[in-house]
Amino acid sequence: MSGSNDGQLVRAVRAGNREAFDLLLQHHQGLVRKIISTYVEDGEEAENLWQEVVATAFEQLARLRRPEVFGPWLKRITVHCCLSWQRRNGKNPVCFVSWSEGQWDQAMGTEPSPEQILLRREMQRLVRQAVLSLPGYESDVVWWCDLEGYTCRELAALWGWTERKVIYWRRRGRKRLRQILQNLFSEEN
Amino acid sequence: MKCREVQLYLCDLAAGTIPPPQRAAVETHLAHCARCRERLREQQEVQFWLDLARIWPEELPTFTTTPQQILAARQLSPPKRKRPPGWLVVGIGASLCGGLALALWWWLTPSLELAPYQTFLAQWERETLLATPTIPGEEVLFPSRPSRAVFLSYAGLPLTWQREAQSLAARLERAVAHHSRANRARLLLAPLYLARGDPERSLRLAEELARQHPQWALPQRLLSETYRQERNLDQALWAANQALARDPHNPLLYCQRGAVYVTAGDLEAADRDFARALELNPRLEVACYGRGLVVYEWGRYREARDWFERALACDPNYLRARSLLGLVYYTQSQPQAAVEELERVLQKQPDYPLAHLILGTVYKGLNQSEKAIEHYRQAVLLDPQDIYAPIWLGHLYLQANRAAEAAAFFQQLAQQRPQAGVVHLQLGRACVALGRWEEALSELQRAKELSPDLPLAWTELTALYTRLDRWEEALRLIVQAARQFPESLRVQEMLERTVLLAPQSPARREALTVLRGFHGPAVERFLNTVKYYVAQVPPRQQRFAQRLLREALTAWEEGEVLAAEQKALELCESLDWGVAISLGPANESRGLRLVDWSPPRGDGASVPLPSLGGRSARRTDVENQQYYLYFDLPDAFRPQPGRGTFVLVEYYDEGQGGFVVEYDSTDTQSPHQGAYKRSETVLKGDTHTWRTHCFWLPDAAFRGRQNGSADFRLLSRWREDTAFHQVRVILEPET
Repeated sequence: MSGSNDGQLVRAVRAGNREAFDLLLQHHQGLVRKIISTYVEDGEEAENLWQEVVATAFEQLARLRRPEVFGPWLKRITVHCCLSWQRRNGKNPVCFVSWSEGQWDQAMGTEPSPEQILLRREMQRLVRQAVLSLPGYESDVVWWCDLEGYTCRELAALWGWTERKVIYWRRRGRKRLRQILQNLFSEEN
Repeated sequence: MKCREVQLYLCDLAAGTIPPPQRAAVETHLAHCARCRERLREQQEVQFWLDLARIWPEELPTFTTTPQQILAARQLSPPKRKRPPGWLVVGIGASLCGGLALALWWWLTPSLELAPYQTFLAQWERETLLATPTIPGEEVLFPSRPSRAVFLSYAGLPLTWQREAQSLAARLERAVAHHSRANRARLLLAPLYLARGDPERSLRLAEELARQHPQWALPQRLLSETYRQERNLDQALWAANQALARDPHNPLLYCQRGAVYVTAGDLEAADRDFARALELNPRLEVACYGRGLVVYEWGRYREARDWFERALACDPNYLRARSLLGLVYYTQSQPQAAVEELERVLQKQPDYPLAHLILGTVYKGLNQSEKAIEHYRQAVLLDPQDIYAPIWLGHLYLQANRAAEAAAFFQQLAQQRPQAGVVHLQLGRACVALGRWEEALSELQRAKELSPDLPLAWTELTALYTRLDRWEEALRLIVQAARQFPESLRVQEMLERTVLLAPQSPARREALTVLRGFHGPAVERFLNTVKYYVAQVPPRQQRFAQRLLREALTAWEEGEVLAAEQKALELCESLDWGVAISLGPANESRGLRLVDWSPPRGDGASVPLPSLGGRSARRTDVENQQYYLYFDLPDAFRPQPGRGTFVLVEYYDEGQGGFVVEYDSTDTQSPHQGAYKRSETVLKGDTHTWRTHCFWLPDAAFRGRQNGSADFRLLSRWREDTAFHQVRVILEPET
């Protein structure tokens, strides 16, 4: 993810260069894939969502105020499309699964069985969905710092923020995430 | 490292991405901070989940269609940044500007609601902008303009107003302390200080405002008003002119300057300013009031009434204008109308001291002492600054033989207001009436010390000294008073009386010299006239006339001014010079005619007295509003241009009142184009004897312009009748 490149490409698309839009999406296709895979497993549905994301992003690109933060902006569009898809298909945005003590142990075991792999994958999806359900900046920062591996300093330089601002939103996001996950995986649930 | 800094690194520490230098510091801190350790534990818990979530599956979905294909399939056109329409930009811009202006206005305007202050001050300003005019009988107390300044300091503000001013000023001070730019509030604060009797702070604030905003007229006006109330009239006039230079079309500023002129006694200039203010705003009630005040002072009562009524038409709640309308009615012998107006004022504002004062005066004129006393008492209690009401209250108490009550009342008041000289004066007078000499002496001496500008304080103390046979002190005191109040007739009267009664002594000789200084010019002129007429008498009367003249001149040369005058008067009587009339049931006219008003009509019908003190006489009839005796001279009897006229009036000296001559003169500035010019007032001393007073009229014209074609009239003043036996008119010769 490069803020300056994104900015130039966004301006080029606005100027009528469609190839630039190809390049832009190519840069961020990984992000979109990761997010869509968090919500959708079916390949056909994923393809549909991809098309919807591309079309929405193209239509809304004129409204993007800071082209340098195209990545977070595209992330939100993708999440929005995914959630809309979930609503359309009658699926709960967060899948509350009842986890017993034994299931936990199974999921975390060192020698995974096929069921354990499935459970772990389900748990990963739930954590990612929880990250994506965080509000605006919190979700962005936690996503990129803790799931994509960027440091706070890198992210600050990329988005034109101060490092402290990134740290602040990261702390808030992680705090909120902890509460969500605690509720999600509590005994009662 | 402190907890706050450590928190910045906890996420990185939990994620294992913290740089080594910071790691060591953070771990050092964590070793001894349980709270931060707990926070780290929480972060590690989250990190566990995140570590789990960041392991991405190997097979992520792949997309077969490219963005170009998607866009082509959906026929999407390149995104264009939509610009808002022009009208929207203009609208938003205008809204922003409006909002900004509104915010600026809000910031500049103190959050305090100023309307109550403005309302109060507008009312107060009208009430105090102009001084109180002459009230009938005032000359007894303050015969000259400079002395009247003391009286004019009387503001007449109700106590409730003063309390309100106090409270408003305190609230406004708090507001000003919080808004450094609250100029409007500061402009209101200065007159509030003035209203609550704190001119020093008002002056300070007004000067500060004038310095900060030299282009503003209002601070200059405040300065002018403060100086005016402080009796610094030169400065007041200067400031009023400065205000007018800054805002020459503001009618209120003309009123301000007019008020300064009124206080300074320059009525012509004041009238010009009020007229100019009315040109600019014909419905300005203060200007109407100001013109009414000026013409009232000139004795043009009908005009004054019109102006006060006009002021009330502009604002029916103008209490001072209504009070003065009542005063005009009283002066025009319509006491019932006066009472009605004044009662209306008191209905609106029961603690309005000026209305109580004037109502007391009206009831006194109607001989309703009880009511008069009640209203004077109210006026005294409501206005600590008023010195007029206490004097008349004391007078009425003594007249009604209620000296003990007066002493108790003023005793209590003296304890409340120990610095009020006029209260001590009245207490002293009451003690004199009760025969408590030592106490009276102490109180009158205190009164003179506290109110040295009050001639009455000097004359009362002199009278007490003479009663106690302390002639040296009496003479010394009255001579000092005569030098301090050269125009005071009361002081002259007391000086004459003391000199006549005092035994021979160096102090008496000095007093005689002073007395000669008073009467000298007039008596000398009279003696010269007598000398001229003596030379004209027939030879058979020459010897007698020469003897009396010689005696008069000898007395004159020896400094016996009064004796010289008496001899000259005796000579005039004996030789029957000029024109004269002896009054009685059947008047005996010798050239001078009393205008006949029978059956009684107008204001000049007199009452014949067959015998009073051994002589026939005629007196005024005040009870029936007959205050005057009108006289008509023969047509051929006219003074030569530039020469004066002597009017010799023989009156019965009984009571405390007085009388004047009002004559048809060449002085057009006097009331009714000079038809009723007033002479000095003769004060009666209650000696129950017949006395003669010689008036010298320098500019008499006697053109018959008075009521009933009369040439002059005698006016009995202060609602007390005066009896006259003979009136003689002698023309000053050409040489």
